[in-house]
Amino acid sequence: MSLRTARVLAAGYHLAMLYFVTWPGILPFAKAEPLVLGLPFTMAWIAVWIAGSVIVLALLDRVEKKHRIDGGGDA
Amino acid sequence: MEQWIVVTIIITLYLGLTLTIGLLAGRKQSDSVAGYVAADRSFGLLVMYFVTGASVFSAFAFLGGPGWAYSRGAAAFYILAYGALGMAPFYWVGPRVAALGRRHGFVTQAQLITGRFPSRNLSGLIALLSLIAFVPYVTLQMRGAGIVIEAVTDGNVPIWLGSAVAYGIVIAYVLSAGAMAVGWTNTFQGIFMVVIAWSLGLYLPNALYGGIGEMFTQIVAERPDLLDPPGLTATGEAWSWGA
Repeated sequence: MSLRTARVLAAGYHLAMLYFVTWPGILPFAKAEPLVLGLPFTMAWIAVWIAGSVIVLALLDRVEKKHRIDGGGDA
Repeated sequence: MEQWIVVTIIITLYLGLTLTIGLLAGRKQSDSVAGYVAADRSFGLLVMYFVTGASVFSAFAFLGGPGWAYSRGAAAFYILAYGALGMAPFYWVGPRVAALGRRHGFVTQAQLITGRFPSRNLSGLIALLSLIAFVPYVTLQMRGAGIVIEAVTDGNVPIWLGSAVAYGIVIAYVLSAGAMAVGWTNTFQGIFMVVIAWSLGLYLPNALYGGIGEMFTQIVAERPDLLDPPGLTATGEAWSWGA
């Protein structure tokens, strides 16, 4: 995957996250029940987006490492 | 021995350990502005993780956050969202700023911005804004430390004294040792906070309710309004999304 594609996808994920964890994107998921893994539904919904953010940034980092020349800073 | 005296001794030992770590860490950096303000740009993954974390998790994480969750229920979920979402942009901004800083020797935001838009007035304005913006944040931390120390010593150590001692120690290691001291004390206290938050967060629901799911099941049964987003207002009424 090219660096640019990876960055656009990762930025897209976080913009989607911004929409779906705040008003109004969160409205369909704003409810206490059913509990998911013991957590209220809204809390679990936000936790899933956070877990996804960790995975997306880790994958982006893998792509960036392949394209990086100087080891630090920006490629 | 009275309990509050034992607690005071433990707090003193903890603050003493923090001061020692801060002063020792500072000896590793070079005797220069970049060493003092940016720790020679040498933070690795571990220290950078906790320095970044410390900029999100202030006294609010241990006092205000749980207080919101307790009194206003689902309203506190936004803390989870901004903790992750608020830091994500730095994945893009951070490396670019670090690279510019390395190339041009910038150590403050004011330098970075005037490096791009050369103006002494702009530089002064940014420096002033940075200082003013930190005042409420620092005040919050000082009061937070004082409130915690007063509470755990049953009021025997007043807020002003707890704040003065806790912040006196911070000022001592920051002034004498700079950013390297901040990095390593953040790491030490960050690990401490993470361990305590996870331990209490798992232990208390299990000890009091028999599990996290069981705790939320009981809250839904007895106070369904608490977990119904967006939670409650300051006066305990059901809140609205404002739309």
